[in-house]
Amino acid sequence: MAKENSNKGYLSGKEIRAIAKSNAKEMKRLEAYKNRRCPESEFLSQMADDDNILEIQDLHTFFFTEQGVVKAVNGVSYDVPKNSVVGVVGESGCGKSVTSMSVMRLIQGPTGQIVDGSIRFKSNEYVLDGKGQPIPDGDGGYRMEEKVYDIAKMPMREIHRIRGKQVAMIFQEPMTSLNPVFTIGQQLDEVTLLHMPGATKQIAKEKSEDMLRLVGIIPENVYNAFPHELSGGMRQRVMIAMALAAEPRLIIADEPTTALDVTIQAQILDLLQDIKNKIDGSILLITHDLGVIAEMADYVVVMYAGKVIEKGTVLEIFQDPRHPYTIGLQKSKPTMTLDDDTELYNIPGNVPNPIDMPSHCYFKERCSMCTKKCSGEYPGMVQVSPTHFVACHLYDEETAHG
Amino acid sequence: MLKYIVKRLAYAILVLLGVSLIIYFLTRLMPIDFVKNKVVSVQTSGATVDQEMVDAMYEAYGLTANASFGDILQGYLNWLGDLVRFDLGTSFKYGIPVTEKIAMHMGTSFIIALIATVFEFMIAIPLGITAATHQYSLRDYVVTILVMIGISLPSFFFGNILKDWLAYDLGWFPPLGLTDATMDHSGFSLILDYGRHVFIPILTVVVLSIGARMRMTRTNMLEVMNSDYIRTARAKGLKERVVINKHAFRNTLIPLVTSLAGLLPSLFSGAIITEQVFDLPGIGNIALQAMNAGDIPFIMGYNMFLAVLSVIGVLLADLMYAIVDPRVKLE
Amino acid sequence: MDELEMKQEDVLETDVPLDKNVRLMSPTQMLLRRFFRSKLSIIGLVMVVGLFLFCFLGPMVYTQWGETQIDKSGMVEYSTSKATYTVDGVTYELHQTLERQESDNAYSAPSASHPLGTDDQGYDVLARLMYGGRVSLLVSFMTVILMTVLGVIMGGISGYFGGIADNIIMRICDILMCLPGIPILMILSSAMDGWVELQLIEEGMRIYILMFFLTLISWPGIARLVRGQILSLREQEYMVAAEAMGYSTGRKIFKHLVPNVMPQLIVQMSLSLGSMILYEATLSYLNMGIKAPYTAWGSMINIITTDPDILQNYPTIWVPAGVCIVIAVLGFNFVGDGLRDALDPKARR
Repeated sequence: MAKENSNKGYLSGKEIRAIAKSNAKEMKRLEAYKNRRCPESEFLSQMADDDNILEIQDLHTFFFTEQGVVKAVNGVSYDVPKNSVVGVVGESGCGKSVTSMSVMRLIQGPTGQIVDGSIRFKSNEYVLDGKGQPIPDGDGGYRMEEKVYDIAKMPMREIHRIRGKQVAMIFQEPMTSLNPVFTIGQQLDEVTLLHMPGATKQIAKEKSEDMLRLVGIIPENVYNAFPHELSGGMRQRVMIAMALAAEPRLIIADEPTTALDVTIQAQILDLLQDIKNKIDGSILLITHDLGVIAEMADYVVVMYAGKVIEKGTVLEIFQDPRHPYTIGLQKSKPTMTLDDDTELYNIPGNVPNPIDMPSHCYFKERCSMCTKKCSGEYPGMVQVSPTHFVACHLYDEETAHG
Repeated sequence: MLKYIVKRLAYAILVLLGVSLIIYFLTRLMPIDFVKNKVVSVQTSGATVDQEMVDAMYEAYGLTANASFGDILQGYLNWLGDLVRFDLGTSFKYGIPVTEKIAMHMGTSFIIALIATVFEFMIAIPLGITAATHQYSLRDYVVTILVMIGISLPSFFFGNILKDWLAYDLGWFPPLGLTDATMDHSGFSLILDYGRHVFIPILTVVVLSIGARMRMTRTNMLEVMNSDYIRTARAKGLKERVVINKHAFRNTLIPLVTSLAGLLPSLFSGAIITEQVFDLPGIGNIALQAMNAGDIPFIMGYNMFLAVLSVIGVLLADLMYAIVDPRVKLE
Repeated sequence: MDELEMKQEDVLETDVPLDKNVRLMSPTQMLLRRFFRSKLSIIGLVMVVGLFLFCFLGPMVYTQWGETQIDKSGMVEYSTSKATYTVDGVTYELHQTLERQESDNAYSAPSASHPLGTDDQGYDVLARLMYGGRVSLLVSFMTVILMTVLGVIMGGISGYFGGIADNIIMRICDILMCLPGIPILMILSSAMDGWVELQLIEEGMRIYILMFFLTLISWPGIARLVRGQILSLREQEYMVAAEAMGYSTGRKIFKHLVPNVMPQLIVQMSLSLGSMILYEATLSYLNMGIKAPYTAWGSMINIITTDPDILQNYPTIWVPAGVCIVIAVLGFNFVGDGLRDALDPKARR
């Protein structure tokens, strides 16, 4: 495709204008959709499986850039069951972060947009009376009800129902994710004051201190401190405390340890392990570190170039990887058992640019187990076991009886 | 903290020394015969300058005929010595000490500049924020175009246009001066009279200065809105209004407050052109008239005064930065 | 594992193709696209180019009047007044017609032969607008270029050599930044009054000397920019790499630093052009400008400081010059702004 172009593979002026024009149209439409007003019924939905709290189905999140449409997430589907840890793994740029940002609806518009698909989330909310106040249940709590929202269809003005209270997020960059001009205490209290009905400043402070203790910080030391006075590891703990403060049903941890020192990484992982058992909720853990996944996750989703290529339980993925990419990933992981003279395996080549995707399997150029079929259309999901799925032509026969 | 301030002060004095050197030697570029002529012409016209004063000044500025380098240096040191004692000499034109003349007119300039600055901040900040939060929208474009026109207007042109239109054509405001000499106002009506006189000048200054402030706000706000902690604030479930007005605005405020502190001293310096256009008795207009009359002591004194103000401004801005931004520690 | 950590997350924002099968925009295309996407840059460019054509090609098309050519065709102005008075119960009406005749056609309203009328001296305003613009634009351009050259040299020395040179230059910058602009030029202008009186220089030189002095005191902004860029680039890995590969000093600077500093420099220059035009106009307005009979835009407005009658009654004499100044400054500001956005790597769209 590039070969026939004379100016060294660059776009022509005409093409650039065409891209700009179609982008502008699409972005305008999607922005209007995001900012619309609509009744609740329009974004209420039903779970496919009642045991899940999050079901992502056929999600498409695109970035409309000047170079063309980047299909960062291109038809991703996976579920997060209740009280479980789901690990999403893949190379940088494979769309795993964009998927999680889509769940929080934090994709930066107008360039980034959820184009298609649904994100069903089972939220647990206070029942509100006519005045918008929660109704006490007589036990010191409030009456709750479960509702299933399709987050992808929610207008932006309703999104605060989900964010923070139902789904909380821990970001990759603890150094810059805390507001530098507010104290840790102020930023933590804010969550409680926002989400807990009838919370006073005193209650919020107590809650914040509890949360700080939970993440292994002595509250007296940091409550009145400013973020810049804390180390990266401490800040990440504060971020985790902040995520926990509203007792969300789902915590998305987006590469929570990547920006930290190795020793601190281990501490934060231990903390997450610990918290996993203490809270009544699920964790969606996004990482490129297979070790972290093996340690923490119950289910694993492997992503490649904006698509899910394999998913299953942690045992299935680690003991019986099917997709050549997953197999490659496992092989490229250094272990102590390897002999000194064995070379570390590496997968040749790079992730393709998600602007101009081929119609065949995206991994084909880098795959060592290619068959003739691979030049055909993109492989569909093949069920290997009740929980194990893989998108590769090598296993096409299994569909028949799977 | 104290150590930092002392260090900065010493440093400021160094800068002022440099400035004084430049001002003095620029003045020295003036041919001596010309200075003599000027003094004589001032003497014959106003006769407010007596010979003793002239001699004293000649000596102080080293303005002897055929001055050697040593004389010039001696002149500089004399002038510097007077400067340190806040003695800027006696103005040719006004016949009173320069410091006294500056002090007399500083107030007028300050009041006008202060009111203008308050309006400038009050209008520019909301405009900047709304332009940033609606980046690339029609609103952003309209605000940007309007303030850019404001930045691009020469003060003498815009001031005269307003004067011609609002004062001469429509007759809503008096065109010149600070008070109405034909009326004897007192109390509230005097203030009202002042208000009517300074309205157009203030309007001129505000329109001209809003742009820079608005663009500063917009740029900062855009930077802040793209930062990770704003994403965190959104992820907490805060409504967009709270995210902007609380989390983003507090951060945008840092450079704004800092710039306000830096601006404070310069409010005393007077707006030369605006005061000239509206014939206000502010320090800028006085200085302009002094310059046209070749009043050397006054011009030198006024320039030093401005330099001191801007040095103080820089100092204040630094201190303010340390106060409003918890990340900054003075050392 | 290294495979996985190879790239940062922001694939979406990088311009480097991840694979060969994708065609992207060339850097030039990207710059042009970003610059022209903003309507304001286009408007600014049109304004600037339009003004240049007007000033430099205009006089070739509009040849009826020269810059210093007085319309000697004369002027006749009639004014009538009416008075009524009553004598012995009879009301008389007196009509009086005054005829004012002059040899110069001054103060004439716009007409076919003078599209913008004539000024108080009988010069054609449109012609003087063109010639005056040449002075304003040329002086500002020269000032900005000189200022940039000075700033680049000083900033380059400061950033590259560091140490004592850096210290001295930066202190000089601090001092120059504390100098008041117009007032310090007033001192120089006063001094020049003396030179002119003693016939050391010609009156016409004044504005050029003033603007030259302005370049001498206004380079610190550019110098700091260049110095800052050099300092930050020196820290970058590819500079360390260049050092490790044994590149010579000069080569390092030209290969790596110049292309990195250039974009910001161009932005700074186009914004400075606006402010220099304002400076020149203000000096001219304060009667420190070019000597009559020649003119510049600011000088054309200067007349209203001495003659309030012109301010009130003859806007065609001074308003067009003001409009030209606004267009020029606004044009350069728009272009500078557009360039800044286009060159900003953090731009979101």
